[in-house]
This record gives sequence, C-alpha cells and structure tokens, in this order.
Amino acid sequence: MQNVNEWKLKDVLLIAILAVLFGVVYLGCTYMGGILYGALTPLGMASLGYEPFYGIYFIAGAFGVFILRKPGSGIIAELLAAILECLMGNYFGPIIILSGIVQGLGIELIIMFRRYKDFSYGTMILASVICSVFTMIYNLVISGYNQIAVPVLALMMVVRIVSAIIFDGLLVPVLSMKLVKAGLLKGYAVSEEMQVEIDDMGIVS
Amino acid sequence: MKLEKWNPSVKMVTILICVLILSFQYNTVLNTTVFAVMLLSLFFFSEVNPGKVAALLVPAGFAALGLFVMGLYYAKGSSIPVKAMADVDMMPYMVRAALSTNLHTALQLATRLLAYAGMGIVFALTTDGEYFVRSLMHQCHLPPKFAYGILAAFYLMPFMARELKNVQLSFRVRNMCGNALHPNVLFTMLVNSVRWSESEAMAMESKGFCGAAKRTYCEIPEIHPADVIIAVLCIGSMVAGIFILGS
Repeated sequence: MQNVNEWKLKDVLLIAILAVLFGVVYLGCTYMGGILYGALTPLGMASLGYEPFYGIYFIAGAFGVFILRKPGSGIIAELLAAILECLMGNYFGPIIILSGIVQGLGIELIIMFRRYKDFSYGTMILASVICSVFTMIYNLVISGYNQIAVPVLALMMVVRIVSAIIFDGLLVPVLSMKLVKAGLLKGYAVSEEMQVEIDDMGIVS
Repeated sequence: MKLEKWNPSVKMVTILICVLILSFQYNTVLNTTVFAVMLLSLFFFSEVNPGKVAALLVPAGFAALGLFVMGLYYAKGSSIPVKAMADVDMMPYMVRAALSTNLHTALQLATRLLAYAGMGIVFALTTDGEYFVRSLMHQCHLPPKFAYGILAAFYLMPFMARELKNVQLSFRVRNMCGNALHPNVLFTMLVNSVRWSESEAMAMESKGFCGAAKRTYCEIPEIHPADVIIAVLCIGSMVAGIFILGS
C-alpha cells in the first residue's frame, strides 16, 4: 500500500506548475512593483514598493501545504518554486533557494505544530504572519536590513504581513475550496477532508 | 576551465557559502571587489554575451540604487526627514552630518546587493537549466520524480504565459477585470494548472516514467577535482579578502 505521505508524480507536477504560474503572475506584478519602487526611491522607501506583492512569494508553499497536507509539503513546494525561479534566470541565482527554505519553513511551522490537521482561516493567517516575520529576519541578516531604522522596517513588516494575509491566509484557502467544489482536486488531501466536513454538516446527503 | 563547465551543484554550494560569509561582513570594499571579480570572471572565463550581463545588471543596479537611497535617509540611529532634503543649500548642518554617517550604511547595503547579484548573475548566465537539474539529481540526491517534474513544469512556462494572456483577454472582452491577480483570472488559471498537472503526469507515466524504479541515464554529471579546486579558491580568496581588508 502506498504511503499517504509519499509524493506522487502528479503532486510534484501540480506544485511545480503552480510555482511557475505564480512565477509568471509575480513577474507581472514586478512591473507594478517596479513603478512603485521607482516612485518611492527619491523618498528613500524604495524597498517598500515590492512589499504589497510579497505574499505572492509564499503562495506556492501555502498552496502546497493547504492542498497536499503532508509533512514537508510547504518547504518542498517552496524549494521547487525556488529551483524553478533559478531556472528562469533570476539575477539572485541560488540565493533564491535559501530564501525558499525560509519561506517554506515559515508557512509550514504552525501547521506542523498543529499536526497537519487544522487548516482553518485562523491557522493560515497565522502561518502567513509567521512567514512574513521569518522572511524579515532573513532580510535583517542576509540583506543587511539590520542597518535600517526600526520605524521603516516596522512599516515594511506591516505591509508585508497584510500582503501575506490577503494572498496566503485568505486567497489560497478560498481558491483551493473553489477548486474542490469544482471537483478538480479529487484524490488530494484537501478534497478528502473537505468532503468529510461537508458530510458532517449534512449538506450532502 | 570555463564557468559553464563548473559543476552546477558545487557552484551553487560555493555561492551559498560565500553569501553566508558576506552577510556577516560590513565591508564596502570587499563587496565591491566581489562584484568586480564576478563581472571580470564572466568576461574572461565564460562565453556569456555581454548584452545578457547588462540586461541583468540593469534591474540589479536599480534595486541597489533604491537600497542606497533608503540607507542614506533611514540608516539605523540617524534617520533624516524627507522634507529636510528638499533644499540642499538650506540643509541644516545636522542633516548633512547625518547624511555623511548614513553614506557608509547606504554604500554597505547597495554594494552587498551588487555582490550578491554578481554571484547570482554568474550562476544564472553560466548554468544550463537542464544540466543544473541533472546535477541536483546526481550530486544532491534530488529524487527523479522531482527533477523531471521541475523540468516538465519549466518547459510548460511559455505555454502558460500565453494562456494567461488569453484568459486575461477573454475576461476583458466581456468587460470584466482582466488583472492577473483578480480571483476570476487566477481561478481559471488554477483550473488549467490542475488539468495540466494531471495530463502531464498521465503522459509521463504512460511513457513508462516511474520515479521509484532504478533507471539509467544517458549522461551523469560528475564532480571533478577542478570543480572542487575552483570552489576552494573562491571561498579561500573571500576569507583572505576579509583578513586583508579587515571586517
């Protein structure tokens, strides 16, 4: 019998394709972010320009863990996304892999502590907040943000958290549930668990 | 040896070690030296087209400029209100003093980003994607299921970008919002993604692909002594640079 925690080829492909999809979406957003970045540069707040879209960075991990619900799914999903980003020729190269691990860990940590059983909005929002904090710690060390004034960092942190909550805490569960209702995620843990919830509520006879 | 021949996994690990070392250094000269050495190594030890280097340097330079101005205004301990910057002649002495202190931080932030970008650009432009994934499979023990999954998704990318444009257009012709982040557009693309992943998995399995079985490979990337020597040289010269230039 196949281990439920084992990754099937279609799981890998789903996560990899989602990572590419959000890579393409993110690329579109970087144009918007670029305009904001340019506009904010003379004010010394350039890095704030990308913060509203920061939640999209974590979306592959959030989708991975929400749909597959198996140990390591968030981290592996982010790693796949980071390797794909490397293949797309990102100018940070393999450094992206380092941030991918941090993002995956940030998204998965609270879900891991809740033993992959609680995927409520509250948990996903908490996961988004933790992920934002983890990435900011990463920025403090790796990007040298520890040299920046605390109020500016606090503002960036707030915008990043709001972005992560919107994209990962709310949009990911909403879109995943719509996919389940459309009957597209049959065979994935999210679909099976949602079916149990629907049956428990007596909606489906 | 050309940089293109350097084993990608060894190259990746070397760059990551160098990044970790640099992240604990606050040395503008070291950062600038790393950036310059990376660019020079691209010109002397690779076959990269200079135009491609320039194309990646523009966004990296733009990002560095943003960080530079940010460091200049908002370095820890001596932030300057933007309105005080409006008139340089009328700029109070305090502002000018803070600016000169902040200049050091600003340069550190910007040059660190450039050093990272230099290393990243070396990797991005001298590494063949397929060779990298094959190397990850053989040197970093990435399971074949993941390696081929990554490649399958990667080659689907141009098709997905085209499909995203079609979906956006189809919403717009119906006078609906076609923004890529609009839930309707995202949902349609997600539906497509789930279907593609299932079809592609089925196609790969029907051609006999099985991630678990032992398989043969037409070419196996290997680690040669030269790969390790270059890695040791890179890390060694960075450590030597720290001692010579002081932290």
